[in-house]
Amino acid sequence: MNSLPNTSYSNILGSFAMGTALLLQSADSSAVESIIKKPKYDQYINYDTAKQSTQSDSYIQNDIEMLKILDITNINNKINTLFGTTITEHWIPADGILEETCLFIKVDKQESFMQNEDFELDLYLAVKDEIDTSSFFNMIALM
Amino acid sequence: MDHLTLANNFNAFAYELVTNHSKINNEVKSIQDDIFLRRIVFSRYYYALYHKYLAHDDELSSMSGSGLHATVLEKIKCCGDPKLYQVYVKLRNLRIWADYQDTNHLALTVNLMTINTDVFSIIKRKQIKC
Repeated sequence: MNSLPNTSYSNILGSFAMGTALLLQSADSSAVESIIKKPKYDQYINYDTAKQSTQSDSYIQNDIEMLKILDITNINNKINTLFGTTITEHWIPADGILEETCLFIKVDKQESFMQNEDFELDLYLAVKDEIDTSSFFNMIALM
Repeated sequence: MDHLTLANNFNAFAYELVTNHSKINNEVKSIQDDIFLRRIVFSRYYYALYHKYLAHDDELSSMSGSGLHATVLEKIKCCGDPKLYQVYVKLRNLRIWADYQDTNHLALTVNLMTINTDVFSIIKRKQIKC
């Protein structure tokens, strides 16, 4: 039967205390201070200005926006390759609201492309692979 | 009123607004007026398509409720008709702006005549087979 090394509980607790002390030494002093100065249970604290991880400028939110831009860049590259034009503006009116999100775009020289009345559908079919693999868009359409 | 009549009425109403819009576009007109008009047009065109689909779906035509919109979308998605799917999703997204969102001036750049043509091409179909 496997057994733990012959280590007493006091050794383990001693190691933990030493580790905690080292951690506190290396931590930012203001952070340590805020932990030590924990308010009493009946003390009023105004958290209005406290920074929270769910704020809109959090790193996670920025990552999502970055991934969205990457998806649009992939679509733009495909459009450039197949049609020789590029996206000049984009708009996602139902972003985060609907289960089927449409990416609205405007392309350079759109009016001349629109001489072909099937251009919008051709555009969708041309970038369908990119749309299908995107986590953010289910459809593309022209503004 | 049956679904087909509703679809035709909504389409006709939106068409009238769009054609008037292009007529008064050269006159001095506030952005706010344009926004109001587009909110109505997008919403009416969306409902025109929604009722057009229901008119051709015996299973869903007698049903009601807010969940029906998502069901219609699912059926259209599986329809194998990319044009219908594209126009439906496009208008469903524009309706979100029309009904729920604050002003976004990009909505003012959406080509109304293209939507007009696209919706009419679906409304005039004798059948929608899904």
